[in-house]
Amino acid sequence: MDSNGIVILAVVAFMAFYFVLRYVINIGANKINDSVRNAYIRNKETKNPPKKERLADRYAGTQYAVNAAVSSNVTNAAVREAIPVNSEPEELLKFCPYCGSDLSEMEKDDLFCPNCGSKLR
Amino acid sequence: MNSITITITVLIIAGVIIYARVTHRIDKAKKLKSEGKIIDRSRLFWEEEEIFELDAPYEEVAEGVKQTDYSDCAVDIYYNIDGKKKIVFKSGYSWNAALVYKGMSDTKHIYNLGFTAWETRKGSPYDIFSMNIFMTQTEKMLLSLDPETMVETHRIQLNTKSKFF
Repeated sequence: MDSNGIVILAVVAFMAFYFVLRYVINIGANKINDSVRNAYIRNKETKNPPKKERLADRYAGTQYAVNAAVSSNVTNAAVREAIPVNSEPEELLKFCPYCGSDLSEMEKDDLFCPNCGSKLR
Repeated sequence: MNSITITITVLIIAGVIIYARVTHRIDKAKKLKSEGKIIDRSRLFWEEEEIFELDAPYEEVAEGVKQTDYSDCAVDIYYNIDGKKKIVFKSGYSWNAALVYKGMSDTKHIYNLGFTAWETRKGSPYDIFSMNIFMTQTEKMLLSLDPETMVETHRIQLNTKSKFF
């Protein structure tokens, strides 16, 4: 075998060693990482078991809740609260969040700030 | 051009690229949220499984899955795997999920929904948005079957596998 052959063989051997070593280190690191994490999660869930919640509460305030309320006339509290378009006078904005102008005179159906024209709902 | 100028130029370009990527992700999240395709979830939601209690038998849920639009998640759906009441979702975004019927508790049907496998890049799944869209679509479907659906969220036990290359 000439010197070029030895160099190529050395490079290939080094690369093979590198990949195997990296693989073995990865396996070990993942095992340690997983076992520590899993033990922490088990311990945490034993001390504070997860609680049940209403799935609808996750969607409160989203467009889905609004559509659900409008289309199916669902009457649960979370969905009613979810409707972002204010329908009661006391829920109207008092000040424009963009220019700060007083909105007390604004009609409940108005969509834009009378001062700066920003869309409010 | 001296080395300081080159360094500053490289830093500025790197900063612009990072800013553009972050802004793009934020904009995408805002857009998907405003379209109702995703909701805010916990930071590692793919490491959680959800246990649902609702008033819908497996057949109704399977029919609901058939009618749900999963086009944003690129999933292939397999029903009744191994003869069990189990629906498996295999996504082109390198993750799998399963919706498993666990039986009844009192008058409610119990289902388990979670990701069973996912590939990571730099510690995170390839496409978190597609996972969020999938969860959101499935939850909405369950909610449409029973608006009083209850849910319990557990962190799952992980078993990470390494790839040789």
